[in-house]
Amino acid sequence: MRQAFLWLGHTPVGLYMRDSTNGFAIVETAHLLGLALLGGVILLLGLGALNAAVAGETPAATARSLRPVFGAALTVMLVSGVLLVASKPLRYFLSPPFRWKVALLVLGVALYAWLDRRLTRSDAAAPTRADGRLAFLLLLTWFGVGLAGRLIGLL
Amino acid sequence: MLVQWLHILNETAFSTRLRESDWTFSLIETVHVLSIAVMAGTIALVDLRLLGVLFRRQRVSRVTAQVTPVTWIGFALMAASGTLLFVAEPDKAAANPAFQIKLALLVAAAINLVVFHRLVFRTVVVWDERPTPPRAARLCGAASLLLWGAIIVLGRVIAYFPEPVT
Repeated sequence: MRQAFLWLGHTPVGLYMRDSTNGFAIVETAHLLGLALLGGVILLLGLGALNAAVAGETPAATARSLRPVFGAALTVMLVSGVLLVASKPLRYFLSPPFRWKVALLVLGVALYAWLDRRLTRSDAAAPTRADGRLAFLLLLTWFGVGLAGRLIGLL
Repeated sequence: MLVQWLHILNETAFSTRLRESDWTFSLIETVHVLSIAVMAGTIALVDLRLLGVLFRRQRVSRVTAQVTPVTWIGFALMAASGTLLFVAEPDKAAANPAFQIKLALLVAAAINLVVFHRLVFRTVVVWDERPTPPRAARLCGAASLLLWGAIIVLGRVIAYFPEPVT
């Protein structure tokens, strides 16, 4: 794993990211914009499953509407995230908050996919209690992703 | 005059404590970033409805009414944490061109919001169910998306400006 991180840092993209202040700033900003959009999508899906958002819209319809935006925001975050890691691969590899963030991110995507599937499959007018519990866990996990992301720069 | 007031604020015990704290400043900064994600993210979803991209079969008034409370919670947290971040370093922040532009764009975003609610949203009953709202609503949505995107960008850019020489 360590070798893969080091290899990433030695690719032309990694070297560019390491040496370019503007490149790093632009990618970091894209990462933040992706986070903002992703935050909105997750809040809306989560609150929808907690029966607290977009009244009149079934949770399934909300989930379907949000799918492409989630995909786009996640793609922006992943691509920009890999580029940020490429700028200082060893630092990220050795950073505990980065490991928490990756673990929580994987869990967050899995929970999102699970909740999306539950909501769209049932097509019920109102979410179930289990959907609500899953939504709460989803919101908590993604809050953890954001928090761990901030801690990378602090610890 | 303003510069003097800012300098007095900068020298207060509260400002100094915030600035020199190991964890408080970072904690406030974290709240600021996360609350921006909540606020700008939910605003973006309403903007995308106004542009006819999301929730096309849903009434605009419903989407707005349901998302707005979350947006205001995000805004309250963002404004409170942003004020504290400013109070921690008023001299440095006020002299930063990126911060000045960010403030101007926040004012522009507020004006856009007022224009939308006072002029465009007043006629929402006419176009509430339209998948693609009228041009004025789409313009407000596009302006809001661009402005909030730029505000986030400038928030990051602040850190890349060198500190003023005193």
